[in-house]
Amino acid sequence: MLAPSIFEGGDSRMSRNTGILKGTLDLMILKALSWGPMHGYGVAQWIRRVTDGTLEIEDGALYPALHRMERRGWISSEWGLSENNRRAKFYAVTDRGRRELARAVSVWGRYADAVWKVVNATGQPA
Amino acid sequence: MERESPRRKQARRVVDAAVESEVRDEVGFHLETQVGDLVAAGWTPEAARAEALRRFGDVARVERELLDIDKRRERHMRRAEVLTDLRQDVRFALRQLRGRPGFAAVTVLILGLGIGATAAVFSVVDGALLRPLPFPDEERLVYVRDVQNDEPGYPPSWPEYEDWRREGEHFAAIAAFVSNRYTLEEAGDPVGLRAGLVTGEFQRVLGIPPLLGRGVSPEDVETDEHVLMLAEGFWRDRFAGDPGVVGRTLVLSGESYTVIGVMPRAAGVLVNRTSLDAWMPLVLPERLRTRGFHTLTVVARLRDGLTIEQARSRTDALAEGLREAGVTRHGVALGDVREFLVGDSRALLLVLSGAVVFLLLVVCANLSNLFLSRSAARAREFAIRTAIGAGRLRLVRQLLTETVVLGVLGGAAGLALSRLATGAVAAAADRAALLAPTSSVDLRVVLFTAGASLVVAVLFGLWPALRATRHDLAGTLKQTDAARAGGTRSARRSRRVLVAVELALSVVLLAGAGLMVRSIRTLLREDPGFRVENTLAFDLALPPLRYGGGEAQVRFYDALLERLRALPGVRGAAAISHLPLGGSDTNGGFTIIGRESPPGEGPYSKKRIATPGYFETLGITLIRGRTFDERDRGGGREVVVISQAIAQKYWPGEDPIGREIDFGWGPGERHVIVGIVGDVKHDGLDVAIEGAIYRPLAQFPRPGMTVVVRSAGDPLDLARAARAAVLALDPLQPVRELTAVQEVVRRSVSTRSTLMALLAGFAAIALALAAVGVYAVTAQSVGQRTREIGVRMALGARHGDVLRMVLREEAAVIAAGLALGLAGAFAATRLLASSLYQVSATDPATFAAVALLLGAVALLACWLPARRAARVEPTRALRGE
Repeated sequence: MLAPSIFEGGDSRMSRNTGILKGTLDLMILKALSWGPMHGYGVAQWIRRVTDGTLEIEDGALYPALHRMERRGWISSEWGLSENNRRAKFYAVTDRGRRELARAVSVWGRYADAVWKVVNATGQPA
Repeated sequence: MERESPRRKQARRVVDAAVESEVRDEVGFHLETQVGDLVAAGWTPEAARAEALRRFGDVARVERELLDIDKRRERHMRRAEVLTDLRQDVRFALRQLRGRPGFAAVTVLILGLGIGATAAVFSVVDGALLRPLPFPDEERLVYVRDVQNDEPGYPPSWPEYEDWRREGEHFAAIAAFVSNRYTLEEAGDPVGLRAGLVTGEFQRVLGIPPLLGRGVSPEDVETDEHVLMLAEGFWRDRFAGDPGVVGRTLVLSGESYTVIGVMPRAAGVLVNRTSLDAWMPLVLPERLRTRGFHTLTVVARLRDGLTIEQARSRTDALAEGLREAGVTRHGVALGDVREFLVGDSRALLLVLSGAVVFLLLVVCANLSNLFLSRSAARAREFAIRTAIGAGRLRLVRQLLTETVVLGVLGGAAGLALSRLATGAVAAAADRAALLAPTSSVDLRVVLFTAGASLVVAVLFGLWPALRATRHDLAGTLKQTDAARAGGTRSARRSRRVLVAVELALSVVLLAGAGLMVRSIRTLLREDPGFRVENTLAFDLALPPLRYGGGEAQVRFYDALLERLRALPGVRGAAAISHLPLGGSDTNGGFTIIGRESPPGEGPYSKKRIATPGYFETLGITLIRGRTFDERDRGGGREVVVISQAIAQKYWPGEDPIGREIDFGWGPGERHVIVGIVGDVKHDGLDVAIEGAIYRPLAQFPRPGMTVVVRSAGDPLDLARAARAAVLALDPLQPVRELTAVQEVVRRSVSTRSTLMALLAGFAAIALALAAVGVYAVTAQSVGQRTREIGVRMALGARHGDVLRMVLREEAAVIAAGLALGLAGAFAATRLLASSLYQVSATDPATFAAVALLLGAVALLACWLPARRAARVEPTRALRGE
């Protein structure tokens, strides 16, 4: 898994790099849904809020990810009524999805630790 | 995979439309909610819209991607659904079959017979006609044969082979072959061997390298090296495939030979011999290298780039050149390899294929009938299932699954049965049998059997399945069981049609079998010209090492015959070079002293070597003059005895006794004709007589002879004594091919008689199935009309009337089947013509007999249930039981 493009210049649009970021996007979606079912718009808003707008995902990229994850069996979908009484498709995480979330989080964690170690290294290369 | 019917396509479009609208709803909800939130935060509606779109990205592209993902998911789920449905169907089918094991067993048995026979015929036909020959580049392989008197196909002589080798630049390689017998002397157990003797280029002509070691080389031939190659089969059987056998020394007929390699099985196919055990260099003794001794098989490989037609014209030029140089009067012809190996068998294979297809059709019709009645009984079950919503397609698919499961089981049974039958089919196919697959489980045959099983299953299952799921719910549910069992009138009619078809096909098969039976009987009644009963025959092949000079050979046979004649129960003993109907032959041209013949048109005859007493032992009549006796010794006056046909052909109206000929097996000699004997059938009971010229063994010794012994009683009683007599003279001499001459004659017609047996077998199965079909249909229709019969009987009809009524109806079916069958047989039996002997393919007596037989069997088959119907008590019938 590769690092998020926090270090990409400019407006950090991930639209050009959605291929690279698919893994990260899946992880974020699973996390978003871990508290309970949400529709696609809600997931997009949550991600924007939690990352303080640093990660501006193109909303369009979200939906293919959602559909693919549903096909993989990590999330399930159901049509229901939104808060404003509109017909919306709600997604919920499945048991398989929860297991996948746990696995991805641990991988991420180890990666991040490794990078931090490098960045905080005090010893000069020989 | 299910075919897309229009209804299915429409269903799919509906589903796709649903998917599309969902995608649009989802995306639309997102955008609208985004716009709403922005407006609530103070944006203007237009700005909000623009921002929402900006944040979203390319809406159209996203929608397309979503559609793609979702549609593929739909298809994937549908496919999984089909598979689960299929598993369900199979499980249901198996449960049904377990519930009626008798029915399933009978079906599998009938299927097994039909498919097994088909697979057996296919494996032989495939090997002969479809599969490539086991040699590389088979289009470039040819047989080179001698043309005498404008007739091609004669085996060449050694000088001719050398001419062709010298002058034939269009041959990349050319080799000669002859077979010979040896004795493998090992540990006191002499074993008879047959070896192929080949010249140095044989391996190149074959195009396949030896399995082990090296092949016979030109140097081996030149220096007459005592080397040999083991044949693949012999190597595997006797030496257990041991690779260490190369380099070993074997003693053959008293001489040591070094094993240099193993020859692949295909080599035997090339020279059309199945039973060769070894291969050795061909070094013909000097006296056999004359132009009169025709005994070789010559095979050649054409140069690259030459077609056989081009090669033929070059060969003609070669022959012309040789003729002009005065070297020979003969011509040369090239023969196609597959044609040679299969040629005659093609018609036979066609007949067998046709017959087996008919059998298979009868099996299908029979099973179709069976299933029609069975699914009629289940009509209620299907009506209910349709009422609660099962689609017709689904039901049909399930029914077909049942038949396919049966088909698979039947196919497996058939495959097992076919292994037994292939041997018989191969025997009937004559030479083509060489090309049949040797391994017991051949992939092509297995695939074919699987395919055939599926086709058959669909064939016999489709119609009943379609019938059973017809829509007439209310009517079906209301019917009584009996009525339902009989089916509607149209169902009865369909079954009758099927039965008529079965009868017709059976007639054709019976006609074929009948004609073959008559042929064989006529054939076996032919007079072969010699005594067949009470005569024993066996072969001897004296090894040249211990019987080097001709004298030793003559002495041996003289001594042996004396011993044999002294045995109790022996009425005569003698030896002959080629037993009539024994399958071997030698012939060639001869010269009549004092008579000039134009080139290429000289006299020609079969040639035989015989001992004194031969004609008497075999009961061949002496017509004029005398047969051989002790006067005819080596060094004395050279004599010959000719047969009647030769006398009449070359000395019509004259007395040939006292005339002289040159037999042609040595430098110019004169042989005086001392006797004329009756003709015998040498090549086959069905082959026209050709006549032969005989020389006494004492004047032309040869190591290999067939000894014939006439006995007072059963010839095989003498077997031990005969063997003992041989061993007493030479303990290392195996006695080969010990049989009664009766058996030899029987074997000479074995190809035809096996064909007859196969056709009879197919016909018997078909007849049995057809009879069962008639019985079943009659029983059903009678069962359905129980009430009507009861009424009639209550109104005064008697047993006889009822019987006649039922029979009359069924008789129509039988008559129709017979008529159709006779017409079909009339057309089809022409294919048998080449196998028939003195019987016309449309022989009226046979056809009449077949019609009578079938008619009788069929009438019996419908009389039985009719009789039962007539016995029913009217009151019970009326009550509807």
